[in-house]
Amino acid sequence: MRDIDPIRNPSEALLSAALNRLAKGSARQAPTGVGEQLAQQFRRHHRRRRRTRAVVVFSLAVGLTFAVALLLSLQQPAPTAPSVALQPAPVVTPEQPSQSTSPRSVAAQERTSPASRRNAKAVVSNTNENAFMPLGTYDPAMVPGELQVVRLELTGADLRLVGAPVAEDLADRRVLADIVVASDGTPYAVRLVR
Amino acid sequence: MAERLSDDQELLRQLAKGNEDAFRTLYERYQGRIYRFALHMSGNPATGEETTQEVFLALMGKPKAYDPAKGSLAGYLFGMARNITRRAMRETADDISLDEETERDEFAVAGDLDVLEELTNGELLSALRQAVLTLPEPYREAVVLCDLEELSYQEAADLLECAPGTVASRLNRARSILKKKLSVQRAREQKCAT
Repeated sequence: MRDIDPIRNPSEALLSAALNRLAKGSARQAPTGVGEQLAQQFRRHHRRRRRTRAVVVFSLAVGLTFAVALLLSLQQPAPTAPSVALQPAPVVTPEQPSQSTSPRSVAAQERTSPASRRNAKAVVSNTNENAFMPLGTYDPAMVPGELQVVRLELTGADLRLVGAPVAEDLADRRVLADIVVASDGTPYAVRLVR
Repeated sequence: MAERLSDDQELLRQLAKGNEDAFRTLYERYQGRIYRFALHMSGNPATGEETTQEVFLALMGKPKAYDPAKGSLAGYLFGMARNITRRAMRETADDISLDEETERDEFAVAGDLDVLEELTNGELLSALRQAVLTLPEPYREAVVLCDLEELSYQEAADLLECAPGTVASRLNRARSILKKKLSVQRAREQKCAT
């Protein structure tokens, strides 16, 4: 505000005084209703905001939980078919000695001495006796009901050809093994018995 | 001043979080000035109320829109009030262009010294109110802020985003127009009386 000399500039002084009166004569505050209305709007606005935020947080939490559950279910290993489909293993007694390399050939005969058999037993017992070892042909999607366990006596070399973990020095020895086979004869897993 | 600024910012932070007390404090602090500014600029109490309401609704809706680096909260609110008032006045078409005003000035009576003295208090205030309302907007803003709101040139310049010298010259010009307007009105009244 500039200072006005009422003696040197009377019209300016009069105008300033008039403007001053005009300012004092006008309303100083907005009507009370405006403030109350705004306070109500404020409450409503923040209620809506809190509700929206809660919905967003809840949706995110649900989405996250679902995603984690999905990931976990995808990472869980599929149960191995042999462990589910274990059945009493019938012992197949071969009638003739066979040189077949296929696990489907059932015939096998003992040609080893008792000493070597004891040795083989010791070696086999070093391996995990009770667990089936999945072979290269193993298919986790195979339905357990379609599998069968067959007990065979084969040479170590034959078993190695199928993929069974038999030591090389047992290649000529006969080993008793449980083999999980599918209905089409494909071997899926092997367990060395003796 | 700095304390007020940081206080305003803290209140604004609280307002953003939904604190109603913070909102009320800010409202009480600025509503009077904003209401009076809009009222004096438009001459319409409804515009004053509407402007006050819209300014605070905008503040509660987007409290983070205010950037303290760009100026004070008061300046920010006044900026909004100016725009809203301007829009409201455009809608009601109660504004007079600068050219039109200059044209009218040419017919104004030069002798204005005793005019204000001759007017009675009520007549003077009414005539002055009308005269202020017909001032071109930049001049009216200067009169409203400096003469009616009693802000310093510097404060008005901050709000109007111009130099204090510009405010001073606008105010000078505005006062001169006001005196001429009052003279014209007085001359008309005298003519009518005879």
